[in-house]
Amino acid sequence: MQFEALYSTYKNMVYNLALHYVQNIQDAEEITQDVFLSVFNKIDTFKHQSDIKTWIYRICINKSLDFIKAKNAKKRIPLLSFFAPNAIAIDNIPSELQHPGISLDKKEELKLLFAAINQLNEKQKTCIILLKIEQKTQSETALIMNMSEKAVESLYQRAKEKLKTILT
Amino acid sequence: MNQRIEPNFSSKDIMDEHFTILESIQPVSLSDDVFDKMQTKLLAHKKEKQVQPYLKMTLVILSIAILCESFLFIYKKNKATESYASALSLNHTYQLYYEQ
Repeated sequence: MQFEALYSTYKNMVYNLALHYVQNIQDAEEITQDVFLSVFNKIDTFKHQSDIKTWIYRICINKSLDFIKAKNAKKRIPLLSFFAPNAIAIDNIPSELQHPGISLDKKEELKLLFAAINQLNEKQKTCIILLKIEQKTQSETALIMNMSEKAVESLYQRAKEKLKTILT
Repeated sequence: MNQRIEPNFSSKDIMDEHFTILESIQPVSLSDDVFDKMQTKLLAHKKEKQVQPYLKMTLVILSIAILCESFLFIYKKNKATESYASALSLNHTYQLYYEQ
């Protein structure tokens, strides 16, 4: 498959997934570019052991998580985090929720919800995004996350419990 | 196989409400100018990829040249010290000979 064809087929899928992770248009666009640069570089090494869509999903998840890590590392002041470890949680609240897929009436509610989702660990966050926002099935999520379906189910339950604790 | 996860709670709880809101997020389209930006990055990357082997080769040749130069320098220095030492010992032998 030609790179242009790959791009036009999967660009929106990648962009939307990145948006769910970073909740910011500019950052999501940057991640999308990085993902397709990576696809361009690694397309020769793709072994067709999995579906190309799953492969691109995995690249996008990894790039999004790396992007968030890099952004948080820039933000964090070591001395401040030493004296106030809880201050890190403030980073998780998006200053301005820039998600074009969100309607205005649900914006405030989703801002709080995303702030809670951002406090989950990487796997739990990915699980919630894939199952609940992307609305993937359990088996699709398991395939993308390279886990068993049972592991995905227990991960989902733990994520749900943690979200419940954060939100109440 | 394609079974969806259903919540364990018998009654509809607060999390289901939250998840319903999450499900309401609409998919969006990526603007076309992102592709142009990416093309620029891609071109720069392609050029970098083309130049990289030559750059690596130049670096390897330079390192070998520096290594050879250092060995040559050490070899010459050793040779000079050796000949100086032998000249000194020869001088000493002559001195001993004349003293006798």
